[in-house]
Amino acid sequence: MLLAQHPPLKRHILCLGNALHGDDGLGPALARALAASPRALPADVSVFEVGTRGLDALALLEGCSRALLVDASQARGQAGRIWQGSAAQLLSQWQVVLGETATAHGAGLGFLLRAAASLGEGPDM
Amino acid sequence: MARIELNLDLNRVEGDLEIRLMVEDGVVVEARTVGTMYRGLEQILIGRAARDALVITPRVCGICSTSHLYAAVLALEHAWGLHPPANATRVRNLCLGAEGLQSDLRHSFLFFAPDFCAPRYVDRPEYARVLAEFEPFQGRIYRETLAATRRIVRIVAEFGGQWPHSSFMVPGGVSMGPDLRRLLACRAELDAARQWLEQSILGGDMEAWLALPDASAFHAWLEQGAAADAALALLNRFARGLQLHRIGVGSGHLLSYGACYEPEAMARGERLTRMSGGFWDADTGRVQALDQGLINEHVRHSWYQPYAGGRHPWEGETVPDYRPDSDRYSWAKAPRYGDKVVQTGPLAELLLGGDAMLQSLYREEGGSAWLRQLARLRRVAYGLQQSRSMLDEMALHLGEPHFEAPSGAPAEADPDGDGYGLVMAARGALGHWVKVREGVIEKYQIVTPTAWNASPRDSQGQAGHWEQSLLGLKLGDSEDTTEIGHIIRSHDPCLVCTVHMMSSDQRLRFSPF
Repeated sequence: MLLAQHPPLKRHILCLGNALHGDDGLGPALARALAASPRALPADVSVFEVGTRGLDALALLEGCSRALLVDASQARGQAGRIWQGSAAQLLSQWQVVLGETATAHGAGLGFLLRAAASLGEGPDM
Repeated sequence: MARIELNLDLNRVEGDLEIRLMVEDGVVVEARTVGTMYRGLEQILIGRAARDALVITPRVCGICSTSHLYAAVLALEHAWGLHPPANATRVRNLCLGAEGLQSDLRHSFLFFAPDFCAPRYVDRPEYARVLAEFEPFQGRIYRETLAATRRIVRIVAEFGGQWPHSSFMVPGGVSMGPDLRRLLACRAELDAARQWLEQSILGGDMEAWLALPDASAFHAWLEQGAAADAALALLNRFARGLQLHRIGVGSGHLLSYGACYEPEAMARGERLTRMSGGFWDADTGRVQALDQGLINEHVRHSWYQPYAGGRHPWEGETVPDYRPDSDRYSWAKAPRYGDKVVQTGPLAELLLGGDAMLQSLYREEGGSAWLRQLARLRRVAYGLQQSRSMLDEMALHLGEPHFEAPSGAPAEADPDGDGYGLVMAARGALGHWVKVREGVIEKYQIVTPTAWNASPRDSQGQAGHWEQSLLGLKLGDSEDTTEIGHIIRSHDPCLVCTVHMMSSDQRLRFSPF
């Protein structure tokens, strides 16, 4: 998702996933919970519901110094476990999943992270 | 005689499609495209408020959502007799153009060109240069394309609030008209894209490139100065070295709905396009004016409740009837123009639209996988030109309306009516057909470009365009599906394209990474 005319933001929370697809709805659920209580967030934090379109979120990694990406993953072990790490850690551990995107329709989170890294700019993730 | 069956599973992430090939002595003798997922969008829309189509149908696709929105709003305007003011059509065209630029550039340089980095080509001329330009996440053009396409869809966001999946087109116009700030912001994006195209891709002036009159001028362009070192010339040399200009022809019948609706004509209720459309009948060698009444869909080899022959989309049904053990093999229907199997896409759009250079190449060499890809890149220049002219026209008509409310008192329910909306999306001819009864949708049919191209067999047993494009392909090494990959990519598949090949005892995987 790309929003027009966004003010110069400092921190972005990007929530990925499909709300209609069981556990994959974690990201959207978090986004909606945060949106419902906007005062819980500092003024420089913006929340985006990205859906399942990874590469399109590249624009949301512009204009911010830090980005937090929230997604559900099968590859991270036991259900319900929360894993937190850097994008670089994810890239180094997740090669198998990253290799599976080969058209624009399949360009998901792994593609997004590699694309952001290859452009050599952007926020801490 | 060695006869093996290959299953090309193209569905890793979204689960959409696979291709089954029968190969005899290294030659493809039979192909079946299998849509492996039931979409059901049409069934979801039945009984809903007509305007829900403006929110739901863009979700068909994350890459071409603007084209679905455009087709949906045209269908409703047709059903209700509404004519959008000229500025609304200008905004719509501009946004559709920007989305097309994004799609064409990403497909060309993030997905088609990187296939040339396959290890089997390591000994080919200019392989090192191909790697330097197109290697995923490393190559110069690859990374520049990521940056350029991230910018260009800002144009849609300027008018639609977001991209993808915006719903800013409404019956009677658009929700946001042009103002000076928006025009300047959009112009900056178009100028940046054009500068990049000229420097990195074409190696020369875009207008001069568009003015090339024929095949010999095209070849001469690619040999001169900066153009010879630019990405297009490199792609052309490498593709021709692989003989991609000789394979993957497919159906000779071409379909285009015409590109870039004429704003002033639309305001008068005349649906004229700046670039003409039509149907090229390869049997007679003539162009026929487009008649949407000839469009019909067959389900003889699809998993839907059977009906005889083909049905026009207004009479169509999409009732699932899964029969895996029959000779039906796809969730895709088989659209036909009259009884003709057609191909649609940038090549059809530009050939029917009168591009002299491509027409000349088509006459000299015929259709091919490479010509389809070349047409996609050529359309980028048209897209930039058309989008810029929309901006310039808006600047001359600032302050004019962008929305016209239906006349009369607000009705309790939307009026009944039948309508259709046809646009040229990134992948070709896209149509929506709607019937509104008692304020809700009674029927809705979407015929996508990939439905035309990747259709299964019809009631007469005629194979679809993709199926035809793979026939006769000689597989150099039957365990390597790279060539099949080039052909499939040349169609710009609306699918996730990881190819698996099945033979007797092994399973191999094709992927550019």
